Amino acid sequence: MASPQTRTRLGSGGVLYLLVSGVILASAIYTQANLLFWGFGLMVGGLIVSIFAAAISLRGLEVTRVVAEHCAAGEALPLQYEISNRSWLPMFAVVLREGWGKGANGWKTDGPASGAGIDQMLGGPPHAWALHVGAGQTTQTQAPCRPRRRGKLKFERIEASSSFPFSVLRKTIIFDQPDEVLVFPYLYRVRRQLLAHLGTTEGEGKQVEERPGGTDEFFGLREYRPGDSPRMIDWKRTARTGELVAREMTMPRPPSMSLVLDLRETPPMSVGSTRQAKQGLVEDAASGRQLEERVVSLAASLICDAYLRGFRVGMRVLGPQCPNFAPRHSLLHRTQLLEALAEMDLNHKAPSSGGGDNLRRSDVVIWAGRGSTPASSGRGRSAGGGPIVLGAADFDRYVTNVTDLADLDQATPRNISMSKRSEQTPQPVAAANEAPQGGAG
Amino acid sequence: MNTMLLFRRLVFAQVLLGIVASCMAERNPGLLLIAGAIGAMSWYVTEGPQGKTIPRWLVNVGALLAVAWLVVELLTQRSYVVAAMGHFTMALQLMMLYARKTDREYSQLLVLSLLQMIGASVLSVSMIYGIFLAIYCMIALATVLMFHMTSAADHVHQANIQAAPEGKAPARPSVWAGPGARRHLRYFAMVIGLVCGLIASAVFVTMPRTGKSPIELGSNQNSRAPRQTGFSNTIRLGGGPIGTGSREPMLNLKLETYGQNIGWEDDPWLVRGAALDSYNVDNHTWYRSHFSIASDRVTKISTLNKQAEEASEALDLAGHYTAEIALRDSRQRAIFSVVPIPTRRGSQGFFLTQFESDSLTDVAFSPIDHQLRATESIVGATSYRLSWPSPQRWRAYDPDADEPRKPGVPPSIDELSEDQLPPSLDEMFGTSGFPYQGLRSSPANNAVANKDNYARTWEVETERVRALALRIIREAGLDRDPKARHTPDDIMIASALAEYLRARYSYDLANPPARQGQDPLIAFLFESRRGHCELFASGLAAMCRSIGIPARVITGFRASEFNTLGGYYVVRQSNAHAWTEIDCGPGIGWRTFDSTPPERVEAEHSSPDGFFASVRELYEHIEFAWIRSVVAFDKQTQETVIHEVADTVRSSSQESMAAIKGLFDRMKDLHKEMRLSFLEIFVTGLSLLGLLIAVGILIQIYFVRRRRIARLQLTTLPPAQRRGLSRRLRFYLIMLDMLERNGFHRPDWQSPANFAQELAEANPMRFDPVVALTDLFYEIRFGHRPLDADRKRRIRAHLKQLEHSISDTSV
Repeated sequence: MASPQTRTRLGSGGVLYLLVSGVILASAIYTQANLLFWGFGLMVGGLIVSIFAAAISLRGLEVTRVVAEHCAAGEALPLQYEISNRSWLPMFAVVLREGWGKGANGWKTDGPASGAGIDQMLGGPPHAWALHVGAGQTTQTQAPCRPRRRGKLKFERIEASSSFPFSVLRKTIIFDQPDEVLVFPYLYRVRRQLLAHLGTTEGEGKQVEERPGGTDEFFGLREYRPGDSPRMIDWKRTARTGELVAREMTMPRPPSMSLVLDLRETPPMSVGSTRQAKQGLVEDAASGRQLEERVVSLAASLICDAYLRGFRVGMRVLGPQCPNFAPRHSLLHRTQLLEALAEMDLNHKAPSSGGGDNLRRSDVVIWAGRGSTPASSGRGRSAGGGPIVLGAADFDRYVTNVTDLADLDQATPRNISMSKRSEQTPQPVAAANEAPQGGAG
Repeated sequence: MNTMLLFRRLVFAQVLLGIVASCMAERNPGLLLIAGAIGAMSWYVTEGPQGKTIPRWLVNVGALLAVAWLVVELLTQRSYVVAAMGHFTMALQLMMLYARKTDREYSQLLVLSLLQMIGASVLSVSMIYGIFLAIYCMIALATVLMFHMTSAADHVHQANIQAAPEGKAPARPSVWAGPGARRHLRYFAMVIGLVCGLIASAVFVTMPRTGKSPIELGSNQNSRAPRQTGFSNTIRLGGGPIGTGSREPMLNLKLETYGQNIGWEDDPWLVRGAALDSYNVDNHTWYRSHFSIASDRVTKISTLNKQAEEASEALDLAGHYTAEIALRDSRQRAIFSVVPIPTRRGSQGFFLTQFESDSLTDVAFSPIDHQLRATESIVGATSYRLSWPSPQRWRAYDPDADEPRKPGVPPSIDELSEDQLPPSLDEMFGTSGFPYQGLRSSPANNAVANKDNYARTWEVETERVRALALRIIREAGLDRDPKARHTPDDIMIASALAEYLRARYSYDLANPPARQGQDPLIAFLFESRRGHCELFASGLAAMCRSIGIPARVITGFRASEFNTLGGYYVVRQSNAHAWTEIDCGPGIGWRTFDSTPPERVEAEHSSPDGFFASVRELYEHIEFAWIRSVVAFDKQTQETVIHEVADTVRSSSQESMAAIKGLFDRMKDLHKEMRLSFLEIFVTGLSLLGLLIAVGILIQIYFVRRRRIARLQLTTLPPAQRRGLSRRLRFYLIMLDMLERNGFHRPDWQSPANFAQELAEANPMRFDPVVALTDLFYEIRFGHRPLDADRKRRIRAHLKQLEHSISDTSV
């Protein structure tokens, strides 16, 4: 590990301190009042103490960032620091700050706190503070951090600084500690009935999955393992073979949902529901990028909700590069789906390929335009029996905490040019193949 | 620790202390009462149960009003600018105390308070203010430290708020302080305070001084302040009764002769201030004549001393008296000198031989009245030293005797040479630079236009006064021709007149008023025969002048209160006194006579006795030391201190070097001196080696114990407790070491219970002893259980089991 860089500069109160010292000196010289000479001596003493303190402070300081691997956009990321003081002197008022780029203000030009709008992942560098770290002690502190958008949140370095005791000189020690956190898309609470309408009912309760582990139908026999219920022991076979043999049962097929994110093009339409527009909650239009981000967020929200309800979820993405996921239900699978959504690059979209873009009846298509209203009884199908289409423009119809939409939109300002450009593009495949039923229009 | 609450309390205390100190420096009890009450109430209003603050706009309006009041105070009331600025900053602080305060307001409040203390330091020389200033500095240090803490937390909080999305502002950061934070901070503050104090003292001593200040130190120059009683450059007779004056010390007088301090209670001295040689008939006022003023010669002190030194050598002066006068709070141009209390035949007048001062470079000296005056007002606390020859025994004036003139006597007006006298008024008026052009029309000036009439005429009921004087001296068997310039009996005549007044007139501060149109002095001499010292001095001067003897009235102090602790006289405002100087002719010069009955004056000036008087004496002595060493610290004292320090360092270093060298030489010759055998050298060496090893072991034990205490996180406990616990809990450290050797490290932040639980969950069988030992740890550490034999046995067993299980990876 490379030795940390050290930097000392005039602190925030340094100018004021020097100014007051100058005033006292001028007053002392002008009035020749001896008490003011003594007062000036005190200020000089404070300055010398500050210089000495700056020289010896933060020696033996070790800072380690403790951070989770994942978090969700808009939610607090627990960013903790472990501060160890290996010197023989205590440290006071230690301020920790994340840094990116070159120099103290590098975060304004580089890193997740730079840029504006959609490019800005953090509003600014997270700051943490520890009042006191005793000699030989280790303490912890944390910085509030709330990523504004999905993606990889990269940390470069930690800047630990202290201007104890008089804020005259600020000493900063820079620890290079690269780190990475994958920020999942915004997660919303999906309306209770929506998932019931989206899950496929084919085979539900009729077909069985060819895998053991359930309690439904007989699957086969195997040797007894510690932990198996004694009820599952096949006593006849056991008596015949002389070894404990247990029965295995099948499990019923759980509901399934195949998500298709159609992000090939953004429709040339205004965003915000009619109701929202009337209420003045949204303005005339949001950008295409906002709509696409809503698509991703809606997909992530559906995945999380489906996982909690035991759904098997598969996912395909049309447009940006993203692996296809077969329907499965596990925590690992859910995490993999969210990671794929988090890392998806909407700026680089693959050209449309005919075969891969074919949609099945059971698919749930999410795209950036208006969507169809799922029928109250099962999967709403048109006469032709096409997939359900969820439109990001009707976002409030699918999620309950729609007020949080403002957070997403703040992080994704309008990109009118993109919207205008998309006006010239054809309708997405889902809209072309299957006319959305009951679209809000 | 609640840093915010502590910081708010410190700021409140600091601001309030600044306001109180400023009011005290200004000597304004009314302002102290009002501002102190308003300031104290602010804590209840803003921090009390209601916790209300005034809106920001009201503070801004108040600030504008304060600015307007500052302008009004400076323009209309002509108050001193420092005091006016002090009022302004005080008003701003009081308003801000009631306002809602962020870090910005707190920093403004601290700077305003500091500015106010700067102003107060200019205004005050009192030791009480010095104590307040020291306390203020200590509180300010604590406040600044706490402000640093809280502002750092606020800065972090603000940065996080800015970074957070709208409506998701994070909570204020919690105080993450390790154990012993308060204690460490206290130690740091003490060390910082000590270092700053030492550096401040060094800067105070070494910082160069110019000695010249356009600001009147120690004076608030408030035009509304009541006129000080006591010493004055003029005497206005009449005007009814006068008070005794305040007992506030005016100056301290330290007398030395041949390097020995002199003075005691029964040996009073007169502190000579102004010589008043002209009497204004219209307003019954004694003042210094323009003839004397014109004789003032402005010269540098070095030149004056050179001249005085030459004169001293020429006169073969025997012995020197030296007076060190420390003015506490002055606004005078007069430089006080010292004369002995006159005997029956008067005493020798003041004759300057040397003058030293750091705050003055030029002085005006008049050979006519032997008065030193500063070219500018001496303000505030300062000190100067002057010397004069030891008093010469007076001998009766005998014109026939050919005795040489005694040295060290202020010469008679007739003995002054032409170059010592001022030019005539006509010549002076002809000079373009003469500052008294407006006096040409004054009829009184002609009377003192030359040395023939200097202090020799009396114009109020001259015949009547002369008749009285002649009657008195004739009763004493003397006589005098009023037209004669000097007679050999003048000194006897003056003595007789003074004795007459002392015997026949009574001292009374009530000062009976004269009739309408009557001169108060005439009323004193012929009707009331009662009055205060000014009337006695004026009466003697008037009678002497009426019979042709030059006389003038002197104002100053009678120094009779001797501080035995410090070895100096304390002169108070109430010790103001007036006496008379009479020109007894060539060869004798001006002599001092005091016609006031001494018993009554002594009774009036006597200092109270008792416990409180002793306490007061002690306080005044400390305050005098404060003024001498701090307030009136001047260039000469600076040089003295620096030289003393340099000498001490030089001599100490030389002595140290000599001692080291001597020790080295002795060590070199030790074997020769001791003549030790080989065995003795071996035994001695062995003993020394053993001693060194023992010391090393002790040092190692100390550091091991210290490290053990730190590892067990017992540093916050009292020393006795942590020593005992570190000994009893040693087994836990052995267990940790054992685990560390096998790759199981407990981070400092993890509690022992968590650590044990984590290990047990990973492998219950392998780390079962860890759980048991941790339970024992908690029993002893927090349950205060003793480390008895049973526990020792269990600990040994668990450690043995752990040693076995931890090395056995198959478990």
